Amino acid sequence: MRDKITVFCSVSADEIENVRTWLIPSLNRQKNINEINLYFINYTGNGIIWDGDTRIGKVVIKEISDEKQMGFGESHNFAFEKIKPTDQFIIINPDVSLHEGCFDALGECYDKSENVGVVEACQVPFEHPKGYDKKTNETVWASGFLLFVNSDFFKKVGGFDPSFWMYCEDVDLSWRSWLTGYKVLYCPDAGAYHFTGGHFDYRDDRFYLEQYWSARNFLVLAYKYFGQAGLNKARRYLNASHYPKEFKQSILNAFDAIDTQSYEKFYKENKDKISEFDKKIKITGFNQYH
Amino acid sequence: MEQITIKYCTTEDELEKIRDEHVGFNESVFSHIDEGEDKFLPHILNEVSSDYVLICLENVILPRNIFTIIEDVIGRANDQFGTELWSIIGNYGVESMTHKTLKYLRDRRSQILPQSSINMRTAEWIDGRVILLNLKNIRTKNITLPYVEKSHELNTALLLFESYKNDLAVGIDSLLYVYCKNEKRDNKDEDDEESGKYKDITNYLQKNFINHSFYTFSDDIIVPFSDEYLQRDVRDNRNDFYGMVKKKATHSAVANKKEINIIIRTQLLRDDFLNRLFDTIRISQASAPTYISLRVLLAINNVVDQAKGNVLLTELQQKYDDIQIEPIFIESDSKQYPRVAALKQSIDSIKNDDSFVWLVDDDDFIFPHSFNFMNLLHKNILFVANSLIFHEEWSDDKKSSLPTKFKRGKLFDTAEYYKTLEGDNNVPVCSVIYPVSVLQKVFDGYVLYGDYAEDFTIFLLAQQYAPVRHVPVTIAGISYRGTNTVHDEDRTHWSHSYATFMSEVVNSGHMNNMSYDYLEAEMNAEIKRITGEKKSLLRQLFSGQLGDVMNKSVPILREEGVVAFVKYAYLYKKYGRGYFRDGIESVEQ
Repeated sequence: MRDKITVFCSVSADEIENVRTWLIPSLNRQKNINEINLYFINYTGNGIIWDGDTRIGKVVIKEISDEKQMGFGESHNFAFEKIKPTDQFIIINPDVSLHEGCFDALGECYDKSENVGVVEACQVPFEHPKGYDKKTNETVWASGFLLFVNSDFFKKVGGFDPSFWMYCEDVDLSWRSWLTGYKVLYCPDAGAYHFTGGHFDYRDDRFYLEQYWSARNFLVLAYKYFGQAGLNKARRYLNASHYPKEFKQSILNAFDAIDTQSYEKFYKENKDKISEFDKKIKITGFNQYH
Repeated sequence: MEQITIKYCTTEDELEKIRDEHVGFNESVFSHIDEGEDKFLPHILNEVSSDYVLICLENVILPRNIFTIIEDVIGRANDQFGTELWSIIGNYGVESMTHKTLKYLRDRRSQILPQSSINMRTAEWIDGRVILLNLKNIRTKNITLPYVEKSHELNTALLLFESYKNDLAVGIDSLLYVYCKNEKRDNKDEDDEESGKYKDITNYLQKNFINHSFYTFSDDIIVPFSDEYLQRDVRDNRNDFYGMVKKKATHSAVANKKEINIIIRTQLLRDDFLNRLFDTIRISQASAPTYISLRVLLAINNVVDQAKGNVLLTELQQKYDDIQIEPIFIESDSKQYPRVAALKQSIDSIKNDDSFVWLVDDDDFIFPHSFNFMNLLHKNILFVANSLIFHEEWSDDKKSSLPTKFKRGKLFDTAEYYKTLEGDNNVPVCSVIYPVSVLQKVFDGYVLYGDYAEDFTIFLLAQQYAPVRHVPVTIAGISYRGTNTVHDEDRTHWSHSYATFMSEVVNSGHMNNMSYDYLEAEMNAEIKRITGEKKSLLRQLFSGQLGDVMNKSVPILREEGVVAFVKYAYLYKKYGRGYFRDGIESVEQ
C-alpha cells in the first residue's frame, strides 16, 4: 500500500488521446493508492499538449514539457531532475491501460526484495518472451513500457543513457542495474494492456522508427558491453537479418556517425564485471537479449 | 442535376463514331479533346470549367443511363469521403490496404462479368480510361499536375498522389461499369518501349513520400530508400502515402450511427476470461469513434441456476459500469443445443434491424483499434477480419484476468475465407461481424441442429445473403489452452455436430448448380484443346486441387491462352455462387 506515487509519461500530442481515454481512467481504478501524481513530458518539444483538468479523481496532472525535442530516456531524465521523486517512481507509456491491481502488485514485488533497481509490469497481450525466475522474480532486462523504478538507483547510475534516443535504452538501464548491484524484477501480477503498433500496423512499403532505432541501438549495446568483438558479432547478426541491403547499410552508417568514446570508456571500466554477469547480460541473436 | 460534362480523348472523326455507338444520347453531351493521351488530363484540368467531368479514352462505350449513374456515384462518394474531400472516382484500380485489383469495366479479352461493389473502395492506384473528376474540389485545393507524364495512366496516377497529399480521396466504384472495345494488351514491343516509363514518377515519388514501394496494376514501382524520416534532428516533410490512404479508407464522412451488439455466450466459473474480455471491451469502447454504439448481450447457458447467473451478472455490471450489459438467460430448447440456442435468443432480442452482431467467445478478447475500421460495416456485407491465436495457461485457483503464461501464436489470415467452401474452417467466430438482418435470415431459414462448428455453418449460410468484405486488420485474440473443445481427444460429439451442420449446408443449395455446370462446360472445352501433361494439370485443377496445382499450372495455362478458364475456376472457388450473382446484378444496373 502506498499513499502516493509519482508517474512520468513521455507523450506527444498525437498520443494524448490515449492518455485521456485509457491511461487516466485505469490510473483511477488503481487499488491501495490514494494519490497519483502524473507528469507529462511532451518529447516533441512543440508546446503544451494537456488542456484537460489538473485533477481527475485521484490523479493529479501536471505538464513539465521542455521546449526541445527529447528522446525517451532524455525526457525521463529531464523529469527526474525536475521533480526529484523520493523513494520510487513509475515510467509509463501513453498507450497503456492498467489492471486495477497493477501498481499495488509492482509495489509488493519491489518491497519483497532488497536492492531492487527496476520492476517491470506484465505486458498483455504481447509479452517479451524472456522468462523470469519464479522464486526471485529476477529477469534479465525490463521493458520500459511500464517500469517501477528505485529513485536512488536511477540517481546513482545517472538515469538513462540519452545517446540511445529511443528503443533499447531499457535494456541498457537494466544491464547497468545488474552491474551496480541492483536487481531487475518482473512482476507477473502487475497486468497492463499494451497493444503496441508493431504487431498490427507495420507495413513493408516503409520502415518504422522502432525498426531503425532498435537495430542501431543493438549495435550500440553490443559495442558498449562487448567491445569490438561484440560489435563484429552484432554486425553479422544484422547482416543475416531479413532487412534489405539498403536498410542494413543505413543502420551501419548511423552507427558509424556516433561518437563512441563513452562506450569505449564504459567497456574498459566494466568488462570484467560484465563477464561475471554473463547469464544476465547477453546477446543471443539480432535484437535479442534473452 | 450537378454541372457535368463528358469528354472523350479522340479525334473529331472518331467522336462521330462514338456518337453513333451511343444511340439515344443527346449528342451535345459528347465533346472531345484531340491532343493525344498524354495531354488529355492536363487539358481537362486547365480548360474544363464544369464542376464534374467524366473523361473517357476513345475505346469506351458508356451505358445509356450514365447521367443517372454519375449522380449516384457523386452521392456515394460524398457519403463515403465527404462532399469536399474527394477528387477521382474510377472503375478499375488497386484497393487500399488489400492491394487487390478491382476491375469493374468489361473488356472483350477477359469475358468475365465484373463483381459489383456494395460500397465504394478507396484506391491507391487507378486506371484512367473512365474516371469521374470532381473539378470543384480539385480547383478549391489548387491541385495541378506537378509535371506532365508520357502517358495518361501515369498522369492519372500523379493526380491521385497529389489528391491524397491535399487530403482528397480517390475511389473505385462498380457503378461506373463500362465496356471497352479493342483493348490493346500484352504487347511485348510496347512493354520494351515502356521499360523506362516509371523513371520520372519514381523521382516524384521519392521526393514526396517516404515509402519505398508502390503498387500498380502490374509491377511495383521501387523507389530508392532514403532514411531521413527515421533520423533524429532531420527535417523530412515527406508523407507516408499508404498511411494517408488507409486513413481515408477508414474515415467515415457521414457518421451514421453504427450499433454493434457483442454477443458473449458464457456459463459460471468463467470470470477470469470474462474479466479479460470486458477489460478489452472497455478499452475499445473508450477509444471508439463517436458513431459506434456498443452493447453487450451476455448469453448465460441454461444449465446455470438463474440465481447464480444473476450474481455473475451483477458483479460484471458493477465492475464494468461503463459498458451496457444485457443478460440473456437461455431457455431450454428441445431442438437446439445451448450454443445455437444462445445465439438465436440473443439475435431475437435485438430490436434494431440495422445493427450489427459480433460473436465473441468468452475466452476471446478484442483489440482496441478494431472499432476504427468499423465504418466499413455495411448492412449488405459480411465484415471479415483477421484474428490472432494466443497459446495460454491459466491458473485454476486464481481469480485474475491474466493468464499465467501466454505467447502469440498463428494469425488467422481470413483473406482466404473462401476456403470454407472446401470444408476448412479458417474463419474463427470472432473474425466476422454480421449485419443482424443476415443472421435473422439464417435463423429463419435453418434449424441448425448441431452443437460445435455452428460458427462455421452460420458463416457459410450467411454468404447466401451477403457477400464477404475482407478487411486485413486483426480485431480479436483467441485463447488456445490445449484443453479447448477442438483439441479434445474424443471428437465424436464434435464430428457428429459438424456432419449435422454440413448436411444442412449442402442440402440448402449453397452450391449453385448453374454456376457449377457452367464451369464444367468451360473446362471441357479447354481440355479438348489441350493435350499431355497440361491436360492432366487442368483436370486436377478443376477437380478442386487448387493450391499447389494452381501455382504450377497457371504459367502453363497462361501460355496456352486459357487465362479466362483459370479465372473462372479461381473465381468460382473464391466467390462461389456469390460471384455470379453479384456480376449479374452489376450488369443489370
